[in-house]
Amino acid sequence: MHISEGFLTLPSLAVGWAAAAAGVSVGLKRIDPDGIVKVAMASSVFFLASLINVRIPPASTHLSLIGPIGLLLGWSVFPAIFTALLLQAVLFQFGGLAVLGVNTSTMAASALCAHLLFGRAVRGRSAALSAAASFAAGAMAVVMGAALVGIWLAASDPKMLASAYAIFIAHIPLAVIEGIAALFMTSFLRRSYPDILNAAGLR
Amino acid sequence: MTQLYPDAGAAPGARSRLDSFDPRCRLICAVIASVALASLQDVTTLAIASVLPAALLFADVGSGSRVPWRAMGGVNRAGAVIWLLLPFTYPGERVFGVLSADGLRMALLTMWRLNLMSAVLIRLVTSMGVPRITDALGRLGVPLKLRMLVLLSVRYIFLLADRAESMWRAVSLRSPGISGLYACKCLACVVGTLLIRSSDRAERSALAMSLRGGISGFSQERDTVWKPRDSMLCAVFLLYMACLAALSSSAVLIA
Repeated sequence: MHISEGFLTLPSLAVGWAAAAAGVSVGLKRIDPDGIVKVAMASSVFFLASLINVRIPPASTHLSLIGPIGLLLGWSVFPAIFTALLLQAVLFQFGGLAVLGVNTSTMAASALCAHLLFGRAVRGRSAALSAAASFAAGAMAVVMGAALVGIWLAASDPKMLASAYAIFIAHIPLAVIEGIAALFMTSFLRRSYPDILNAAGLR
Repeated sequence: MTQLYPDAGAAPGARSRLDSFDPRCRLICAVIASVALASLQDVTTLAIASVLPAALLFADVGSGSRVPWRAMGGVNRAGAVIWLLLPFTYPGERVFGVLSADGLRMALLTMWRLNLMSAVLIRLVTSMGVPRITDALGRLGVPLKLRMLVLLSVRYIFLLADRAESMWRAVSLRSPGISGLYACKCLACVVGTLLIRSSDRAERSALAMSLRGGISGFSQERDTVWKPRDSMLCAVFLLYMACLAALSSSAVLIA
């Protein structure tokens, strides 16, 4: 779901940075001083989880888990994803620094939408509804992220629209896998440590 | 699990010629070069623009600093999906009945831009390392909360990496060749367990930090001085941007 350097035009990069800056500043305002450590921990856990290679025949993939991180962090997801992507760019040269704003706004907006649309249902009393909402949050975040990647590419060069469609379609099986992973993760957290889903410092 | 390798062409403790410049100057120059390179659309201008990134990539080698081939390979692998798609999906006249001629040209230009921008950013920014980058960002006005988040994340990534790796190794030993739905479930449980354990640790760390003075106790900006040579480097990059802008506009006029 990363866009690399060189694909986007200057106006797209500028809009991406502006959107990311707005999101990050709102997110930072919502983190209380004690919550910074928790957000950093959550950001690190998801960064590490994205490095684990999962075999899904016939291929293998690294899951992004942006749906679950959105459910957990709420608005704080903007600074958390900005940090994780900055570190990915610096430690792995994955993504890039000029496109950091675009990638942050794409992934964090998807994660935030997952939180806003499904967060309440995931934390609700009904286990079945929570499971369904978790799956929907995980899958929707990936679908929305892929759609936003397509929009960025098509906005930079309308002739890239067919590539954008291809990227979107390629993400649909991944969205199902991410939805299943989100479902398993939230049901594990509900059983083991439900407070983490309601953590006040992580809203 | 992918290995964490902080490789940007510099061995630990290596000194490059760029290290004598102020980190703020390096960040500003990286922004100027990115702006200049992102707007280039024709082969001639890109060829001329390659001089500065190539100089940064190959000239600044020695005393432990080397050409970051691994990092450059990484950026090309990351961008490969999209630029491989372009010749097949771009509209226009077809070559061999499948590939678009315009798409091939676009893929070449995009790959070229990707390498130029990455060379500049790796040499000027990435090679500084996270602590110097956050220090420079702080001196450029980035909020302390964000810098603290970056520094704490780096600390916890390396702290939790061993734990995550050993947990995933245990899963692999119990179920060799794990795949499919069961792999998803195991990954979810590993991540969930990591979150729960790190949550406890985060509470203890937050308490320890507040005892040390909270966020204010975290500021550790070094006393660096902006020297005339920093202004000179910025001027060189501004000149580079102006030349490329002039060349681009003349290329558009000719076309």
